[in-house]
Amino acid sequence: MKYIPQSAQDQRALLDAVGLKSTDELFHFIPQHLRLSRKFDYPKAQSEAELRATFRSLVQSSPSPMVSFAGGGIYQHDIPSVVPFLQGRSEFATAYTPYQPEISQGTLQAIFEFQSLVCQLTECELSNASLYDGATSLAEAVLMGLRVKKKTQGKILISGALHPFYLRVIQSYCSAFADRLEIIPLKGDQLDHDALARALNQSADLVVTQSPNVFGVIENDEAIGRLVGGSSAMWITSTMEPMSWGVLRGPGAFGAHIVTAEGQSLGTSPILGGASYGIFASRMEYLRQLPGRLVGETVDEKGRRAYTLTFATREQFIRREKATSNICTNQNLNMLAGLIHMATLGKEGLRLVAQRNLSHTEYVKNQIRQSGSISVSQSPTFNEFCLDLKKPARALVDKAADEGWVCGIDLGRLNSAWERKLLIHCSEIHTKTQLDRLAQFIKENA
Amino acid sequence: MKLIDQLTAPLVSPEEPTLFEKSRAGRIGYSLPTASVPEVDPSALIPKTMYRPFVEGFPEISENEIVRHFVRLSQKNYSIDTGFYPLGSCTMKYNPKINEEIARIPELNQAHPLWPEKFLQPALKIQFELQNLLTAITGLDCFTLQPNAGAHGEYTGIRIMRAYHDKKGNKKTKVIVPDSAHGTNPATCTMIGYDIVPVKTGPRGIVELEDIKPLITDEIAGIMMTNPSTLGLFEENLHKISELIHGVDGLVYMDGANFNAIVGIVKPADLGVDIMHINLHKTFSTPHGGGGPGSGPVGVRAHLKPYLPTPVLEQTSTGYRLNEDFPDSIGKISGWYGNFAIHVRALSYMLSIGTTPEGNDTYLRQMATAAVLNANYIRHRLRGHYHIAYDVACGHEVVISDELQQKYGVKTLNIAKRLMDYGYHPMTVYFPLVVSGAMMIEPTESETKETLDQFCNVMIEIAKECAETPEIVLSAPTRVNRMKVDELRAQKQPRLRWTSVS
Repeated sequence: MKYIPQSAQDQRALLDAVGLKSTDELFHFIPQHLRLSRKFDYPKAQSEAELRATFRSLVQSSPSPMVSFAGGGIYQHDIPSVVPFLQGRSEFATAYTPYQPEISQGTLQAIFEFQSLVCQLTECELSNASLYDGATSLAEAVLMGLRVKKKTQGKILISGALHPFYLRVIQSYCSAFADRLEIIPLKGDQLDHDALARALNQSADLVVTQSPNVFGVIENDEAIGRLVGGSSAMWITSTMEPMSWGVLRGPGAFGAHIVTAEGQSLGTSPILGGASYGIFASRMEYLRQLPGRLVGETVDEKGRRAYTLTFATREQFIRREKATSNICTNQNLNMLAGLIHMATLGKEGLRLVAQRNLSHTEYVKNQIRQSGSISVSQSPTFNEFCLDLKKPARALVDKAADEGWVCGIDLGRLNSAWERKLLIHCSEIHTKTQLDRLAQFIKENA
Repeated sequence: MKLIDQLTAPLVSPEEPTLFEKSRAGRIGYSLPTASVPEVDPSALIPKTMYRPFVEGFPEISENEIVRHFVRLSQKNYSIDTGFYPLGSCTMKYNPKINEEIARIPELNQAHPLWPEKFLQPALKIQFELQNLLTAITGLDCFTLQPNAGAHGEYTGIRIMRAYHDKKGNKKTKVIVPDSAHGTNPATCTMIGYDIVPVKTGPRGIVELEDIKPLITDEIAGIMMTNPSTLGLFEENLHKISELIHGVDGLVYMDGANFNAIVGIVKPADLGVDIMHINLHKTFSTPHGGGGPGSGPVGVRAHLKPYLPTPVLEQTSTGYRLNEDFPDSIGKISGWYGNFAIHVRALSYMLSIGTTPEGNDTYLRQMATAAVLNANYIRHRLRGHYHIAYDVACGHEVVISDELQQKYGVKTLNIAKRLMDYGYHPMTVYFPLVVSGAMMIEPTESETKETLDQFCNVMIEIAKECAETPEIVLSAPTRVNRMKVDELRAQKQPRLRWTSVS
C-alpha cells in the first residue's frame, strides 16, 4: 500500500526489536471479544485511477447550472490563478499550527499580514487569525460581548435583517441567554432606527447589525453608530460580503466594537459554503477577551524581525476551562487564500472589482425597473438585491432550475414570511448576455 | 563527520519584507475584463458618509512580486512534505496528492449551498457516503459533518449531551474529564455550562475503574474521554466505565483525536461510546494547512439523532435532501454544511484505504497497526536515553520526558529546539500536563524504518550533547531561519498589525 511504507520485512524487524511475535500482540490491551476481525464490512480499496473515475462519474451524474445568481451569504467571484497555486504549496498546506516560530515564519508572517489587511478593511485596531466562518464569528462576538459586559443582564438586540442562518447560530451558541435576545423590527428593507433607539433606552448590552443585510441592503452604519454610541451598549457588526468594503467604510470608522465577516468572497470558491473563514476584528482595549489565535511581531535572539503566536494565555491549551473560547484548529489555509487574493487585488483592484459588482447589479436593477410592473427597492445595495414578487419566489427559482440555471435565492427558504422575496446576486463574473437574460426572465415571469 | 553535518546545512533563506513594504503606488496584480455594461460611479450610489474611494494602506504589488513573496514565505515553513513531523496528538501523516486533485473538481467548487437541491446531488452524495463510512468504522448510527474542527465537534457533541438531558428533564450539572485530556475538553464543557469533575490517571497511565466509582452520582451528565489517551495509551477500562456512566443515565463522549491508533481494530460503539468526534484532518489525512481548515464530524447512537444540528442529510427515493425539520435539534452550529472541501478529501482517502484486493484485510487496519508498531519501536529505541513516562506497550504515540537531562540544566524546550538544527520538526512539548516536561512523539504509519532510526539516532545524539556539551543544546536553534524568538517581547510590546511607523 503506497501510503504505508512498512513492508513485511520491516514489520518483522520492528516486531523483533520490540520483542513481539505478531502485530496482534500490539493490541493486547483491547479485550479480545471487542476486537474486530480483519475482514469487516467496508468497500474495496480504490487506486488513483479508480478514485478519479468514481468522483468524475459522481459529478456527472447530475447537471451543474449553466449560470448562477445565487448569493445570500456565499458569493461567486473570479479567483486569480495565483491564489490556488500559492495556497497549495506543500510548505503552507502540510504544516501544522505554527507553535514553533523558528521554523514557521512563513505561516506566521502571512497571518500577521492578514491581520493587518483586516484592520485596514474594517478600520479596526485589532484582528485575529480567523475563525470558522462568518456566522460563528458573529456568535463568538456575541459571547465576547457578554464577557466584556459580564455583570449586567441587559438585552442582546439583533437586527431583523440579519441572515436567519446567522441568527440561528447565535441562538445555538447563546442558548443559555435565550431570554435576553430581542429582534429589532425593520422599516422596509432596513433596520428601523426609531425602534433601535427605543430599545437602547431600556437596558441593552449588545446591538448586532448586518450590512449589507440579508436583503442585500447597505445599512446606514453611520447613523446606527451614532445611536449606539450614545448608549452604554456594545455594537457588533456582521458582513457577508467583504468585497463591499472596496467602496464602503469599515464599521470600525463608525465606532463598532466588534466587526465580523464571512471571508469566503476573498480567496475561496463557494464549495458548498465550506471551507471558508471568519473575519473577526475589534479594539485593542478588548485584546484579552478576543477568541482565536493572534500573531505578533517581535525579534529573535539576533535581533532580527520575527513573528510568533502571542497572548496564548487566552486560549484553551493554556487556560483549559477558563479559556475565552474552545477554538483550536481554525481555517488557516482559507485565510491564506484570502490574504493572497487581497494582495493580488491591492488598493486599485479592490476598488475596481467592487465598482464592477455595483455596475452589474445596478444594470440588472435598471433593466427590471424599465418593465414598470416590478418594483425594485430604492435602498442602496452592493452586489445583491431583493425583489418583492406577487407570487412565491420558488416558482421562478424552479422554472429557472428546469431550464438549467439559478436565477437567485427564494428567501422563503430562510424565513417562511419571505416566500415572495427573490434575492439576486450579480458579480464581476457575469457577462452582459447573462445579465440581460436574467432581467428578461424576471420581466417575463415575475 | 558529525551527525548534524551529515544531515543538515545551516539554512539560509532571503529575508522577505512585508507586503506593505513591497508596495509601490501604481502597481496592480489583478485584471478585470473590459466593462460590458456602463460603469457606475460608486460615490453617486452610496450614502456620502459611508463611501470609501479606496482602502487606506492596502498594498499595490505586481503579480510576479506577489508570487515571490509567498513562495519565499512558504520556504520559511517546515511541513510534512519537507520532513518528519512527529508532533504528538496531531497525527501528521502524509497527505495524499490525489485527494487534492479531487477536491479541485470545478463542479464541486462552484456548488452553492442555497442552490436548488437537484444541482447539489453530487455534493450531498459525497457527504452521505462519508457519513456511511464513518458509521462503518465506529459502529455509531448517525453522523453530522457540520463541525469545522475537533473542538467544534466537541462543542456539538456536548451540546447534544445537554439537549438529551434537558429533554428528559434530567438534573445534570457535571461532566467527568480525566486530567490527561486535551485543553479543548474542559473548555468545551465550560462553554456549555457543565462543571468539570477531574479524575486522575492511575499508576498505569490510564483511568482506573476504582477512581471513577466514587464520582458517579445522579448529577453526572457524562464522561469525556480521549481514547487512546494523550499518553498514547488505550483506555482499557472504557467499556466498564461506560456501564457505570450509563447506570446513572449519563452519556459517554469519546474524543477521537487519536482514533488513528484503533481504526479497523475496534469500533468505539462496542466500548459503550454514545457520542464521538473524529478529526478528519488527523486520522483521514487531510492537510492541516498551518492550522486548518479541519473537520470534526460527530457520530451518535440512534436515540440521540433528534438532537443533531440541522440540517440533517437524508436519502429519499428521489435523492439526497437537507432536512431542517428537527424540533429537538441543538440548532445550527455554523453557517452552512461543514467544511465540504475537507469532506471530499477524506472520502477520497477513506475509499483508498479500504478492503485489500485479496478481501481478507483492510488497509485501515494495516494503517493503525503500522502507526502503533512505529510508536512502540521509538519507545524501545529511546529507552535508557530518555525517561519514558509509562514504559508499557503504547498506542500510536509515546510520551518521554526531560527527567534524565535536567541534571545538565537542559529542559524539554531546549531539546525540542535542538531537533530543528538536525532538520526535524519537534514533537509536542509540555503536553500532556500530567507528565512533567513531557515530549510526545507520534510517528504515524507514513514513515519508513530508516526515518525512525535516523530520528532516534538524532535523539540519542542530543541526549549525549545534553551530557557533554549542554551549552550547544541550550543555544539551539542556530541552523534554521530564526534563532530563539522572543515571545515575551511580543506580549510586552504588542505589535499585532503592520503600521508604517515601527
